[in-house]
Amino acid sequence: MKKIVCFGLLATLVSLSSPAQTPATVFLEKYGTEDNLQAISIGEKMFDRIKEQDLGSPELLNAIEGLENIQIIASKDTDLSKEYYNAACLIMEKSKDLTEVYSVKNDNLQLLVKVRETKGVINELIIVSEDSKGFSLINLTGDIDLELLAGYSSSLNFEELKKLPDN
Amino acid sequence: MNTQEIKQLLERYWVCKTSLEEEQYLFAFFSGNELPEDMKIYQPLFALINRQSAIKAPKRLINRITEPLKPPFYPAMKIAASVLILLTVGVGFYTHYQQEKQMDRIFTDTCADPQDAVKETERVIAKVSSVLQLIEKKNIWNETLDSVRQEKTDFLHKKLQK
Repeated sequence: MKKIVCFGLLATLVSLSSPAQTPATVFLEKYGTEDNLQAISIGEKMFDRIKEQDLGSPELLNAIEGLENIQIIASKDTDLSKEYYNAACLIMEKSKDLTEVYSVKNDNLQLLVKVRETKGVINELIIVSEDSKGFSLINLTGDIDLELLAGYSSSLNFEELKKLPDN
Repeated sequence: MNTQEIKQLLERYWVCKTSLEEEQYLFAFFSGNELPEDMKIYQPLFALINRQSAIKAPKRLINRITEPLKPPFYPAMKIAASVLILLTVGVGFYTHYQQEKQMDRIFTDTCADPQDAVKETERVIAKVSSVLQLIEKKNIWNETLDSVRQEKTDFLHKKLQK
């Protein structure tokens, strides 16, 4: 009985002391206090409220199905955006379980896309970009359906992507 | 039992080959008054053994002998272990609380209004969608995810082989 109690306590402790760290939270631990950064988090409770109140288009409700959290970090200007981008890339490089899906680097745009896949399910998608508007890091967690997300928007809403060559 | 049989029993008793019942019989026999002359010399011995077996050890002594051996300072060690567990759990809760607090502090613009959250979500999902469309266009998804799966399969395969 004592052993079970001790094991239970330790299990609780381990789960408490290691909360889910995403590249976004790691990044904010370093740069969180800087004025030219804006950090936004939309969690599961807010998604539930959005669904309950039937806000947003059916396409949006469809796209957020299964998502647990969206964390967005964006710079308010371009002053330090290159430094932020490099720091974010370094953090993602250290996460060995992240797989790089796409990266591009040119004069107008730096983009890095990584995913975390567990048992055939993508449960984290991170998009880091740096362009003429500044730096941004988007961290999605949950059961991510890439086809659903890709199908959300019929047109390219990311101006800099339009400038990319086809190959 | 006749005298000869008692003598045989006694011989076996000296070499510890008698059963409990036989021993009880011997004790009963030597506690009697009518003993053959050549056996009277054993009577004080059996009386002494009888008296000794009648002595009962104090309960505390028996408990101390029968209880499992515990290391020295056992109660202190128990208290120290309990304090350590409580302390560890306390530190765990405190760390968790601090981390939550820090996250709340740094995610200062976290949407509280669902309408704002919808706008922000729409903006982000549109951007994500654009990036995914580009990747889809370049047909990278399947290649990358297939390679991830292949790597995992190879890893498991190697592990199983070991």
